[in-house]
Amino acid sequence: MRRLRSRAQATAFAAIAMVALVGGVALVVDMGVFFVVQRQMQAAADAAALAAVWYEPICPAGHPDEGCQPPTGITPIPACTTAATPSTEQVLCTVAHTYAERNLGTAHALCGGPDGTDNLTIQSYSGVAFNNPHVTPYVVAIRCDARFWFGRIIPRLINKPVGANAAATIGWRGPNGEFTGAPLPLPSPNVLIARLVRIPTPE
Amino acid sequence: MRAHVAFRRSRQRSQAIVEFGIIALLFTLLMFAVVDFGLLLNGWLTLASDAQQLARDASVGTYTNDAPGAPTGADQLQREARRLGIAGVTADNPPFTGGYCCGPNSALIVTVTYYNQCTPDTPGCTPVLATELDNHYAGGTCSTGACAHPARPGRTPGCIPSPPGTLCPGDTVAVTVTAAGAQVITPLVRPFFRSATTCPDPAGAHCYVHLSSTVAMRFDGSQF
Repeated sequence: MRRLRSRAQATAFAAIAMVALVGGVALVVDMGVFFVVQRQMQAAADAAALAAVWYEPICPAGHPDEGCQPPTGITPIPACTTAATPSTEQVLCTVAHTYAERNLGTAHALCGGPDGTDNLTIQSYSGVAFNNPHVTPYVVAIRCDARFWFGRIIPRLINKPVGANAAATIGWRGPNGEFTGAPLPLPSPNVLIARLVRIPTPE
Repeated sequence: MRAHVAFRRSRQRSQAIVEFGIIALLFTLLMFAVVDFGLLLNGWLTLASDAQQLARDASVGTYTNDAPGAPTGADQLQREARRLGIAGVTADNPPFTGGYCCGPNSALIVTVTYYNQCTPDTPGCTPVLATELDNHYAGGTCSTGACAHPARPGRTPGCIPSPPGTLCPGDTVAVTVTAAGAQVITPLVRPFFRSATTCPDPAGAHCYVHLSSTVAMRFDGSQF
C-alpha cells in the first residue's frame, strides 16, 4: 500500500509539473512568434508609408487643392495593378507594397492557418486629411492571422490576428524645426520631409 | 521480516531520488530554455527596433563618417547603434560587455547598403556608395519625363530617362544590424546555437547566437 502511494506521488507530480511546464513553454514560444511577427509588420508598415507618401500629389502655393485633393474617404486598394500608365493611387500602392514586402522578413512564413496558407494582407490608401487640410496621410495597414505552434494542442487556438498600422505625411520642416504641411512656396530653402503621424485608427 | 521491510523502503527512497533527478534535469532544461528564449527574443526585438530606427536615420541622411574621404557610411550609425543599447550585446549594458566572443566594438555589426534609383532585389539593382547616389529627392510618376517633386536645392531634379508612366523608383537604403555577441545562458544548449560565420574570433569557441535584422527604407535625403 505504502509503496503504491509513493510511486503514484512521483508520477502524479511529474505529470502535473510536465503539463504546467510544457504549457509554459508553449505560451512563451507562441507569444514570442506573435511579437516577432508584429515587430516585422510594424517595420514594414512604417517603411512602406514613409516611402509611398513621397508620391502623394503636393499642391504648390497658388494652386490650393487644385487637382491635388486627396480622395475623400478611405478607399482601400487590396492589390496593385500593373497598368501601363498607372494612376497615382496605383503608383503609391506599388511603392508601399514593394517596401512592405522588403521588410516583412519571416512574417509571411509565420502567418497563416494550419494548412500553411499565407493570409497576410497589405492595404494601403490615402487617408483622410486631418487637422491641417493640406496634410494628407498615406496609410498602410498590414494584417494576418499568425499561427499558433504549440497552442494548437487546444482545439480552439489556431490563429491569432496580428497587425500593424502606419501613417506618414509629407511636409516642410520650418525654420524652428516645426512640421507644416504643403503648400508652401515651392522654391523654398526649407527641407521637405516625410514623417510618421498618428491618425485615428482605421478599422 | 522487519529488516526486509526497512530494506525495501530504503530502496524505494533511493529509486524516488533517481527518478526525481531525471525529472528535475528535464524540468530545469525546459525552464532555462524558456528563460533563454525570452532573453533572446527580447534581444531580437530590441535589435529589430533599433535597426528600424537606424534605417530611418540613414534614410534622412545620417551617415557622415568620422574620417573625411572615407565614405563607407556606417560609422555614425555604428556609434548610434551602440548608444541605442541591446541588453546582453552592447557594451553600454554591463555586465554583458560584448559577451565571450566579441569586443565592445565587434559585438554589434551595422551594415549600410545604398541603391541608386532602383528597388533592391530587382535585376540590375546593385549597391552603390553613398556618394554615388543621385539624390533624387522624391518620387512621382515620370508621365512628363520629370518627377512630380523637385530635387533638393543644388541637385538635378526629375527622373532618370525612362518611358512615360514608369515609376521613379527613388533611392533605397538598407540597414542590417547583426548581434554576434548575443548568448544563450544555458551551457548545455549553447553548442546548438553556435554561429561561426558572424564571429570575428576564428576560434569561435564561445560564439553562439546570430541575431540579425534588416530594414530597407526609401532614401529621403543626403548630406553630400
